[in-house]
Amino acid sequence: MPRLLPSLTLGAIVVFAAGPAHSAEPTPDPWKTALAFDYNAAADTFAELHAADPTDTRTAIAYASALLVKQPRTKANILLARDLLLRAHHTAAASPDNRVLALYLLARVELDHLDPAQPDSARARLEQLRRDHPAHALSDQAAVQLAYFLAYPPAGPDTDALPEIEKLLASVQTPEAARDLHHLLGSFHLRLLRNASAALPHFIAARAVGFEQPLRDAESDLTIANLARETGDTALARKHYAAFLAAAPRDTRADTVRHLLASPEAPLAHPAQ
Amino acid sequence: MSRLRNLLAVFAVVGAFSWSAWHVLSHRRAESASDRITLRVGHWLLHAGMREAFDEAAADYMRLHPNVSVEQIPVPIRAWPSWLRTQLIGGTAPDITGLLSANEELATRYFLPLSDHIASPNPYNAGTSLAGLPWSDTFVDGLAAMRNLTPTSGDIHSVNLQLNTLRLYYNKPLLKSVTGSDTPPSDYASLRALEDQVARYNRERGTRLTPIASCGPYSQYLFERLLPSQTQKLAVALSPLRTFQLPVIELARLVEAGELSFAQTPEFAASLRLLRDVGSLMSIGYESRQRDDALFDFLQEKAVMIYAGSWDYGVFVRDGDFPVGLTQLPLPTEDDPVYGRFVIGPPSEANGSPEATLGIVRTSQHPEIALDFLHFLTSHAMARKFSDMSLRMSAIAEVPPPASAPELAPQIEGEIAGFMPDFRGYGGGNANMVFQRNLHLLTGPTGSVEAFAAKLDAELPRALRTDSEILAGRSLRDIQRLDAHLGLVLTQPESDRNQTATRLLETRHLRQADYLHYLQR
Repeated sequence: MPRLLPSLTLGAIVVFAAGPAHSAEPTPDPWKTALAFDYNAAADTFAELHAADPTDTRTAIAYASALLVKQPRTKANILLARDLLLRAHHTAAASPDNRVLALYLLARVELDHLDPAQPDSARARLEQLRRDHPAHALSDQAAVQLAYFLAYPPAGPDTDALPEIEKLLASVQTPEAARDLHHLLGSFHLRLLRNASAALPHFIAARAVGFEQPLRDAESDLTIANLARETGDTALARKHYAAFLAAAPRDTRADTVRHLLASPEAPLAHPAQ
Repeated sequence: MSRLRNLLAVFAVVGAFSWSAWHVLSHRRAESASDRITLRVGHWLLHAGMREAFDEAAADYMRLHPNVSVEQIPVPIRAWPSWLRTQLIGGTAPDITGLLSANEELATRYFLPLSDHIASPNPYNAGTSLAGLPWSDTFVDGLAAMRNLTPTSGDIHSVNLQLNTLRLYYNKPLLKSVTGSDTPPSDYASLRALEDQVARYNRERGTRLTPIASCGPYSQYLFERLLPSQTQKLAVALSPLRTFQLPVIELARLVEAGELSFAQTPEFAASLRLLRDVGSLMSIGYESRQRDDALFDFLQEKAVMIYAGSWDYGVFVRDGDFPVGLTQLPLPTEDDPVYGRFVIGPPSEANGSPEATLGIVRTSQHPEIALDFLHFLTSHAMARKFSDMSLRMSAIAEVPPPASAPELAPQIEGEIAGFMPDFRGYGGGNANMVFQRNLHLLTGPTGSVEAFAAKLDAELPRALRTDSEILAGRSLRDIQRLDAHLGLVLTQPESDRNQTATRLLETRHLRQADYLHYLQR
């Protein structure tokens, strides 16, 4: 017994030191935990919540979301996430918002999370979402995903898809989806068809809606101003150069823009001049 | 005897534990009993003047707020990355902690967002020229560099006290001995002439002076300032969305597709020629030397000049036994007969690299006091004090550079920058490795632009494909993370949401567009 005394004493010290401190801490909100990038801890908490009430579709979708990024990334986790989303979508008692969200996320999982991807199934789900829930905001987001499908088939960018994408654009109602479709169309005209005149109205329409990403409006102003300059619309160029300078006066490009604002006709370096 | 030894060991451990526990508890009790708040600031800024500046700032703040005690915890830079992670994960990081080496995940997970505060004025700027301006607008770059750290959320989690700039420092008496004047070269041709002037000086005096002391990292800094002068017009011409910028991913696509070539594209050939040209001014074997080697060469008067950071200015002033001058690196101008053809003008330095980045950890017991102290640190008056004491450039607008070195101020006015042709930082670094591994074909005694360009054209496309595959993996993981965040945000009660689903969708569409356009195979 005396031989054990040192070990027992040390053990008691460790237990005393580590013991009660954590017992009273409340369980942290798993949504906040996950959105602060601690996916594993969040997934564990969501798993407990889901086990306690499997019919709660809100928790099931959140649990599936955390599983998509839980480390290490495993096929089992992705498949479990897909199953959770499938069940959430088919749960009659689920709120309409959650059923639509589950369907949208299912398409995303099949497209960019499963390996190999299941593009046909993903596309079918996006079309179902568009068909069954046309008034929902995520229906418009499904249209953006379908536009990407059309624009970038496995063989590479397809400029023949432009009319179909225009149709999708005409069908959406939310400004954010319209903005991102305009941006896609503008980029297509500019980068692939080298058609500045056709690209310009799309970039203007996207800018009119406005972006939420910091300084992206300013970037968009610069695109519009330079395209307007290329196509000879100096008044439009001036307006958007000025907007760029107002938003980003200390940008490394600001001085160049100041010079162009003063004389938009002056040559710089673009092949169009 | 053995038993006694064991008991002594136990008493020693119990004693140490009791003393530690008493120390911690009494410290906390004293703090709570007196309502005294201790704010800790952890940083890696041990350079001359920085710790003293933090002490001064703490003393000034404590005079204004007698109930607050500010303690700084300086950590050597070599230990910083592991120290930072350990402290953050253990929940013991100081209230205000530096973000050096923090990626987006660490910044978002462990630091409070400051986005809600940057639109409001910094109260400590009252009565100054920055009064009433949004806090973000009081920074030289509008906090753009801090925003770029966390593109997924778009939040800002840190502010930076200082900016780094790079300058050409010169030994005034030595320059006068070599060139007949202590006025530094004002154009690239004069800088280039230094090679012959130093060679003649060495022949006449039997010395072994080098025109520019250098090392691997510092030569890279010089190339990154000099070489883009040759690609300014190309960046404008090739900018895919007409933003005057050529993303490296687009450059990689153009080279991989053979639309740009080091042998055929004149701007690339001019960049390589310039690299070979300026390389001959530097210490022999500069690629494999370290910072200390370059600094010793300059301080021991074995070199006339050194291209170094604003962070080195204090070292030269303190340790140099000679008067030091500093100037902008002279770049080729439009009228340069050899290199002027592709130049638009001297580029702006508004995007100077941020230094002394600080944020508030989520575990801080006093986040509101920490925020107030950050306001205080980044106020015009305090930034000026920091600048004067540390001899470094403040990141706060309208704060002058150190009085003895006005040349350290970033040159905000200037044209758009070109780009480097070396693919540094792209994908897994394979293309950059090809560039670096074959550099001897360009810079060696028998080196030639043609041989180097031919090698790059032969080997780069394959390396770029590998790098693009690596980038595709990263890009896809980013997209997957945005999907997960969308599911999480849309299942959160609306009252708890501090980011919008539309912003997440916009960010993901941006990533998807790049991924599909460039990386999908």
